[in-house]
Amino acid sequence: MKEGASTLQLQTLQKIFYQISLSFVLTLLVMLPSLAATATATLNSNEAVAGESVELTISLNGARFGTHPQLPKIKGIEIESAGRSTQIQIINGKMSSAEIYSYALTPVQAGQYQLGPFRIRSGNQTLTTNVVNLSVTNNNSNNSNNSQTTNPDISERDTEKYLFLKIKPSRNTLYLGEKIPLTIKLYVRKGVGVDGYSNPTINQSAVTIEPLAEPSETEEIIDGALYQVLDFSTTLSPVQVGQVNLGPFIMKCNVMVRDSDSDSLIDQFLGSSQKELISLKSNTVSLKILPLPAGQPASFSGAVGRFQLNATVSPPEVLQGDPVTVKLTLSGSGNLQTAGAPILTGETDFKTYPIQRKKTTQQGDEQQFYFEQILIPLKSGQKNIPSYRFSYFDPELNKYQELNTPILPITVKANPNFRIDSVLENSNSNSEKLGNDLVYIKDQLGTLKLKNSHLYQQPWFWFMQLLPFFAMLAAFGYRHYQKILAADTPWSRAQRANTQAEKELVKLQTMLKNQEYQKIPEATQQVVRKYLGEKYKLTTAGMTSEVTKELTKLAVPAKKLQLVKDFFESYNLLSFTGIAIDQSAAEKLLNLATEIIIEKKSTVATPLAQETLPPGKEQIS
Amino acid sequence: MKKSLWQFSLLLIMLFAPTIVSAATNPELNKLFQAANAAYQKESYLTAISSYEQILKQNYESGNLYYNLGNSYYKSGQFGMAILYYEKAHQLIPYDADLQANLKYVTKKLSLNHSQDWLTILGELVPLETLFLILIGISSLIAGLVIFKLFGLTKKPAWQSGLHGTLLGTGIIWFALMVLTSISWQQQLRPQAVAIKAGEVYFEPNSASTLYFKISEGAKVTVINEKENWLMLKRTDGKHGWAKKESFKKI
Repeated sequence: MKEGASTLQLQTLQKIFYQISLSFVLTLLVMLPSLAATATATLNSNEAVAGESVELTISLNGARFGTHPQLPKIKGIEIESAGRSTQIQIINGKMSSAEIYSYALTPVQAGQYQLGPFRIRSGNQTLTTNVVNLSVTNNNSNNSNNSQTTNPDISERDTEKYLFLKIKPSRNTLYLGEKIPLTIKLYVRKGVGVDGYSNPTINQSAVTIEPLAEPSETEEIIDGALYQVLDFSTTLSPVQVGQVNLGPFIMKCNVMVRDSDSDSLIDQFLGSSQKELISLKSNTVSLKILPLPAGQPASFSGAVGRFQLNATVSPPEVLQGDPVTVKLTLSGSGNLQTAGAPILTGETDFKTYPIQRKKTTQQGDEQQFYFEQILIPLKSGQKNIPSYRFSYFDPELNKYQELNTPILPITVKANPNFRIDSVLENSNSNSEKLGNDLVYIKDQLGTLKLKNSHLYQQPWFWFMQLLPFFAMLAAFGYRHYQKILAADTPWSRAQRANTQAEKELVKLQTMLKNQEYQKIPEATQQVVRKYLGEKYKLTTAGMTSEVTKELTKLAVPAKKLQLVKDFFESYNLLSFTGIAIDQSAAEKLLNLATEIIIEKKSTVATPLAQETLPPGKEQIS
Repeated sequence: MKKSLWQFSLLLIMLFAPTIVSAATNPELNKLFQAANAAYQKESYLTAISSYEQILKQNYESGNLYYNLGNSYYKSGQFGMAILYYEKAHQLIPYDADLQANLKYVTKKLSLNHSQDWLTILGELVPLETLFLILIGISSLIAGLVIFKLFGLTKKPAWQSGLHGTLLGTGIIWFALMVLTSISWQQQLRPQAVAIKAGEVYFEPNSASTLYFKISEGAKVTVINEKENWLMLKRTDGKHGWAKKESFKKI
């Protein structure tokens, strides 16, 4: 009995299994025709106003797991993805499925647009959508200071209390090029569900706005209601003068709507069932842009703000022709986008290359701009890099300011291998296109000289040229004379004897002046003996008046012989008789000696005189 | 000895003094120069030229003065005159880097062919006056060595003390310098001119004769002969002919 019941249960289970399997197979058979996939593009409106969004939907019917289509860029329209959903319908037992991709299109300029066909990849298939047309007109309506939604379904509803976008510049009057903070805040009332948003955007050519950073979240209470606030604050800078209306910024949000049938938006916001894409517009702010005042310094290049300038050079000691780098740091807050770099002032002994803007860093409100310039010293020595100058307009002080760096000294060592041509050629062949112009004028007159007064036009210059040769000639002559004088010829002996004796005579004269009369006979006798011995090659020891006999043999003139004889007699008288030697006696003896020695000039016509002439000289008779 | 040295130095100063005048001792000239520089700065180039030339009229010259005149003429569009004054400056400050750069720049701008034969390059290698001064030094050295040898001022034999070698080396240097000076001197004697405007060179000194070649503004030529209002010129490529004087100025 138990076995029969078990068998019945098993058969029942098998039947159920077969029925389920059959149903599954049938379902698949029913679904097969729907696998012939199609792609359709639709717009929620074929007409739009510039700045307002329309929704583009691309439906993949009968296809699953398609990749999210990346729409190509369309000029004049900003495209943002707004999500993906799946839809399955069974109508009269026939099931259909679709994948829906949504996009928010925001046209920024008027015109007729043809969107598509878009190509979408689904598995191994590539599907192509139909083309949709969009007509965009300019927004001529007044800019509202109040935020409002543009979704046609909810545009008339009162959303400003729950979700709105506000902008506020730090000032409403500013100078051209001045950079000021701009606050952009999205207010979301507590309890309102926002599932995704885009960054606020604006299409305005009168100002430039820095890219928005990640928003910070805060909370604020307005009129007793608590709001979550997303702060997208950035900076703005005007690029044209006059009255400018800033705004509206446009921002898209996905808002969670509870009940689509309810007329009350509050009910929709407080519900939680469905997303709805809405576009928010910010308020508009009027700005007064002032032109920069007149009297701009020559070095002003458009910087507005407040800055400091520092300069360093490295290395401080280089070889001539080696590069040095000057690093400049411009720090402060303000607008430098259109401004030029600091400029080098004054004349330098350097080859300069164009200044390079390297990088920008930001610490809080203060920015730092880095510049570098390469300089090549052309001359050696202690050199100074002139100051760099930078001018800016200070909007707080309402006047132009000028910054100058201190002069930078460097030591340039002489480089024997340095060629100035190579530096100039390198600068010409540099791949970077460098400016080329005249080197600036000299600021010093330099060494002045009379015109046409070349050195070689001066007589003294030629004398200087010849001076070494004259010196050499004189040296040769003197050397030759010395050689002749040193020879053992009668003339040389006579020259030597005379020179020596004349020197001794001067000493004897001094003795006479000093009244050293007692010493004079002996000293005079020695001078005469030495003179006669040297000149006539005689023995000086024991020379007396007998020497005249030898002198006679040598054909000495009689007059001189007499003088010699008289001298020796006088000497003997004074030396050996013991008489007192007074001035007249000493003078007499000295005069005799002098006549013996100086007398030579009168002996020119004598045979001996001829004998004593230097070799090569002829006697004039 | 010390006294002699002082006397020699004094003699040199007295000799040089009439020809070299420091700008510092000429405040009037310096004032004129600064006024010209200020005019240049204000881009009043003709005023600058006028002021610079006033200094020249006082019979003074300097390399920097000619350099600034070259710049002013260039800025006022008179390129030939600019080259002329750069060439004049080159004779006084041949190694000035700024001058070399500007001369090269203007020459390139005017597309001038400044090719030179080797003799000219050699002659311009060292300024003539520098060569003469070096020669005085070398000659004095040789004279000193000779005197040293003549009077036997060294105890070692001459060959052992290196006296002969030094004399020989110095003699060779002296000879080479003499050759270089001769070449430079020859070139100095040849008057050179610059075309201050483009001109025509004829076979004969009259405009009715056959035109030989044209000469560009700023071109440097050698003057071979002069006849009334005509100059016989030689171009760097050796071609020579007659051109009107008005188109040229001597360096």
